Amino acid sequence: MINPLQSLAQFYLPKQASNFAAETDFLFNAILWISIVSFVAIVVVMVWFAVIYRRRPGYVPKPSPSHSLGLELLWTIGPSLILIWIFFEGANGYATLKTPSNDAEVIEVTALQFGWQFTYPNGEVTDTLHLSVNQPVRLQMTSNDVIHSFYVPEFRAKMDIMPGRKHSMWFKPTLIGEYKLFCTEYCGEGHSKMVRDVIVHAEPWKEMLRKNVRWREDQNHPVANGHRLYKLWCGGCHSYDGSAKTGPSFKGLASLTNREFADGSSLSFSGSESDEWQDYISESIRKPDAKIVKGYPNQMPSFEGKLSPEQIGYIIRFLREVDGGTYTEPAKPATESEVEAGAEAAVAPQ
Amino acid sequence: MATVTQKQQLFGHAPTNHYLDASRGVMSWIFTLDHKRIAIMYMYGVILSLFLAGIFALVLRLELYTPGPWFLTSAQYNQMFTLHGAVMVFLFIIPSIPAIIGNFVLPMMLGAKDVAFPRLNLASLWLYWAGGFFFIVVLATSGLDTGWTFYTPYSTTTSTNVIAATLGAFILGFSSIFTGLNFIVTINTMRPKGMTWFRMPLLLWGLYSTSIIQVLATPVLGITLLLLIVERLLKLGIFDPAYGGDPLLYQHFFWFYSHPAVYIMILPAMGVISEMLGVHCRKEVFGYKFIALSSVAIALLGFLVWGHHMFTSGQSEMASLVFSAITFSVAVPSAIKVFNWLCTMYRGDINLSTPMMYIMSFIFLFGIGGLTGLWLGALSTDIPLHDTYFVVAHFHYVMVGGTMTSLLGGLFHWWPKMSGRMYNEPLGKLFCLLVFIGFNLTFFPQFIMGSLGMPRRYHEYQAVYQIYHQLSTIGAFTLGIGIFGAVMTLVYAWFFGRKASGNPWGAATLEWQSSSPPSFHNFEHRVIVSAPYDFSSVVYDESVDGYVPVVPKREAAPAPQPTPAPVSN
Amino acid sequence: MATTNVVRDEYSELVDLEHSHDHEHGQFIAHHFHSAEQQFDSGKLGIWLFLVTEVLFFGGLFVAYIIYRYNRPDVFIDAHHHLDTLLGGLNTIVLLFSSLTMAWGVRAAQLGDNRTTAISVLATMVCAALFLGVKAVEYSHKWDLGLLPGNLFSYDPLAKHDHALISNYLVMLCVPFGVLLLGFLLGAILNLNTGKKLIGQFYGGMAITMLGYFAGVGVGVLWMATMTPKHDSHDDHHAAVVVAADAVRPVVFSADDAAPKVETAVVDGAAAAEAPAGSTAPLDKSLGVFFSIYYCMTGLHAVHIIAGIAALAWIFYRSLAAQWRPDYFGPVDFVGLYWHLVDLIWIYLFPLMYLIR
Repeated sequence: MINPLQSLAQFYLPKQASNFAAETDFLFNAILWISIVSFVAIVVVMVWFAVIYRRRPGYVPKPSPSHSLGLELLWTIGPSLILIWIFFEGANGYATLKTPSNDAEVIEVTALQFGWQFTYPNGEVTDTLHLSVNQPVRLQMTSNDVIHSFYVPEFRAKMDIMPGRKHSMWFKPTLIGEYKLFCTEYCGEGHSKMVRDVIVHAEPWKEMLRKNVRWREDQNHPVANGHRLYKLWCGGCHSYDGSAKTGPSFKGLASLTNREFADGSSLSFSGSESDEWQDYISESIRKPDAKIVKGYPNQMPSFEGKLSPEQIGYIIRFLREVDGGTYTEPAKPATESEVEAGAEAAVAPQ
Repeated sequence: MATVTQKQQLFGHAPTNHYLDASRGVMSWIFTLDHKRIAIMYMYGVILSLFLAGIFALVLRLELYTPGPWFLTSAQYNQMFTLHGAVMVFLFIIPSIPAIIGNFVLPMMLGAKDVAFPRLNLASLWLYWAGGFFFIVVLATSGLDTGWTFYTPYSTTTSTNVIAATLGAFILGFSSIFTGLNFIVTINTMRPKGMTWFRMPLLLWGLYSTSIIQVLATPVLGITLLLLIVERLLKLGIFDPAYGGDPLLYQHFFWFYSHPAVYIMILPAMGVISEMLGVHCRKEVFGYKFIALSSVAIALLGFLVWGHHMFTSGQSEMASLVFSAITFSVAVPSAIKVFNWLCTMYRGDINLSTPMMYIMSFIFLFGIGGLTGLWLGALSTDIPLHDTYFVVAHFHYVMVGGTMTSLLGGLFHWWPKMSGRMYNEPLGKLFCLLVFIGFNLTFFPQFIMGSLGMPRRYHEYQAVYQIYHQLSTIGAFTLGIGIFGAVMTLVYAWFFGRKASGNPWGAATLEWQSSSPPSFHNFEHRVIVSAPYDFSSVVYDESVDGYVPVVPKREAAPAPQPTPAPVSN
Repeated sequence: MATTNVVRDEYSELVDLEHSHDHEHGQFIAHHFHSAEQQFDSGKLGIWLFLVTEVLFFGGLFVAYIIYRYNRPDVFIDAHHHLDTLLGGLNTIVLLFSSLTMAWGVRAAQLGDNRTTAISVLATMVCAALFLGVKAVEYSHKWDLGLLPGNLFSYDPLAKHDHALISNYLVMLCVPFGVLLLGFLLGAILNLNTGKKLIGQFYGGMAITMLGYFAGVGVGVLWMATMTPKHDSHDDHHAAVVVAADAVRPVVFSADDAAPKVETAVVDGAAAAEAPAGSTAPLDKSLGVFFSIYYCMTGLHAVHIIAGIAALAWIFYRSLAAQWRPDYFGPVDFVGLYWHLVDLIWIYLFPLMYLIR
């Protein structure tokens, strides 16, 4: 395509950052020009006719035919041929989209209200997507709750993710940079907040994986573990700075003395070390519909089996940490005792 | 009193005893079996729904003026767009043209006194009210935040009042089925002698095709929504994966109705345009048979393309290919119509009236709406555009630019018949222009932000899209003023307009052979059936300030007889 | 008008005298129809279109059935053993017979024989009520066992099902019909005594219809009663299955209590002994999906039966009032068509639900 057209295209198309982009954009532009030509022709003819054949004193319309098989055939067959070409071009591009490259690396994707989790071959889990330029990847996607959809405009790639099904898509990022990943299937209150970064690195895949050393929970501070789990699992619906989200904020949760529930019952706590409080938190993660906080919808899915008892313990440690509404990264490296304390808290009785 | 000829009495403004005056009191309206009154009552509901959902739209657009949250929370925003969509689709667009213009005009175009089943017609109006009532229940309770599509499993798990809304939509579905059934039977069995299928006005073809869809597709929506309600109540496990169900099945069921429903919305609009175009160009509609049959073709092909809403959903690739191919085949009959309309204008006697303005506006907007469908029908370009603002703009160009424009145009065209009054021509044109400009300003920027990747149903958005959102918001308010002004022009005309003659436009279809407004039984005389677009069958007559039919002269005139007083029974 | 100077012009011949020709219209021709024939044609086309919508309405459920059966044939095979083929078969015969009486009624109405029409329609209504009665026994029995739709499914094959013959559910299902029966009886007696023959006969007929419901319940319960001792006498399901192995009917019924795998083996003709006697692991919850579809389809069908009874009652009343004539019998014909469709749907439901192989 000629240069001026390409520079024009940047006003209505995102950057071309994947192997599909050029092919898709070619068809996009082809349809655009077909449309502009036919649309302008229609409108010009319409306005022209409206002007010269308008009713006015002294104007007597000349007789004209009311049907013409030739014309009908012309504008049946003509557009049909163009449409057939468009269909085949579209199908061609679609075939590329659906034929994963053999050397694609697999990344597991879990979509949940309202965030993303990406699991790499080395076991690392992140909430932003890290890719290497020119390394084809295949995303194995599952949903934790409702339907989501994975969409990166620059990649011209999109796929819905339905709960109870496995979906797979692939692409090859071709341009180093940072892009936005959108959820494009309406999934609830935080739908428009399900936007995360996609970073295409210059480093080759292996090097990138080596850099992203797997997070070792046993070598990190329990609070840091909790913070990481919060970002991956809880942050979509619960804030810790008191701002409103779908679920109740974690601010002040650890110092809570009394909790009222939607069914009219309530629970009192004597501090976050008490068994009642820990049981309540643990139950809320495993069986969220057992007790619904007054004023909030019953919307949280169960995380039973998705978070280990230890991990629930880390989250509890994190909750105590952010009780005041702010989070500070634990400065000193984790000590043995702290790690153990975290694990202990985890084995909260049912 | 001035001299009143029989001609004036028959084809002029009805002096007494028209359908609006035939009986009085609220009950005479609520229990009426008169198709004309039913149409008028539908009109109240439909216009009210338009305003209500329009206000939702303006609130949405205002909120989207800034990228971050402004005066709505995310939950409120989600409710707004859901209710905007649901009310617009179920209470405004689907009933709009068939229920108002169809109910009023269809029996009269056949020279009949009423539709085949007047009681069923009334039942369908009552069901419309009942369905509307459920939407009011939704508004008054916990609202609705599923999007108008009610996709599972979100709709089975959200805490909002999905049951009331789906029940409302279910009931409205039956309202739609009954209207469609009534129209099919009426057209089949009540055509007057001499009106063969291919001598029917094109509006009837449009309505007939629509009715076929209503009868065949709406029951599937009914059972789908019923299953959704039971799924929510009893956890059936048919649609909800948490209990073994399949959300994709729901989408297939839903779109099996809702794609043909798109043609329920646009086919009557095309019929209205074809009908008005002939009259206002005073020329036989070009390629009558092709326009007529293309409506039927669209109706039938429309049943086979529902899967193009699901290209990214994970349906099988083969299914996507087939649906894409059939989707393109629907484009052909639509193109045929547009070209035939243009040829109708060629060498016409074009009356640049308000309805004609709406016709041209329709061709312009529907042209864009139709052509942008090409991107969405082609598989590879649909993938990035699916569920972005591109799609939003596309279907608004078709639904609002198409259906609403032709509804307004049709109301202006038939207003003299419905109300017996002429509207103010300059005002009509002014607001038509405002609607046109406002509409394009609202939705054209949405194409651009959509192709740039702006997803739909987003409360907050990336700052790069802000300029397009701002243009769109400004346009939306212009559009709102335009629509409000157009409706007010009509309302003003209803009370204060100049009295209209029976046939002010010089149309050759039968409804214009009645007085304006028509009497209770529609016609005071035997209708003369001629070809629907044979404009030599009517001539302008100074004395009635309108057109009168040319009656073949007879040798032996009947003996003089007293003028029969219009009878009301 | 009196002062109006009327000028006769060429339009006078258009003036229609139609408004004064209402006397031409028979008693039952609506004002907007030209002729009885046009009215009948309209009604006929209307009812056919309505039937089309009905077919599509059920069509959605049939599609759901096909998809789930295709996905999980084993679940469907397992689950259908919980349905009582004999009761289902009985209902099929009852409905087929009701179609016959309906057709008879239509023919009689065409001939203007109102008395025969009334009797035939009454017979049709009694059959419909009988069907509902049997269905009530089937439903209540399943509810007792916990064979409920979807997530409510709580059937435990290991549990003892010592349910009462007449369960609470059945009583609840009988109450509305009992009330109607008493009401109609009272109405019939009062009206016949005061000489209002027409309405009295109508109430009488409706009371007989309600009796039909209880007849259905009676037959169902009786059938249950003959089967129940067999259940109770066999603590060992394995033995029950082996004993019943050559008599297909009891096996299918005793399936209610037996472990699914065992009966499947029997029904499939495999050696019952191959199935371990203890293979009574609780049923998969996915059986609930079968019952979801079962209740949706048969429930919707039952609603149609009830609507049918209401429509038939209207026809019955008008037959008693002797309103049908050879040139006016449309409503009988239309309700008849509807009734045949309701039968037809059951003819499909019965094999799809009860007779799966």
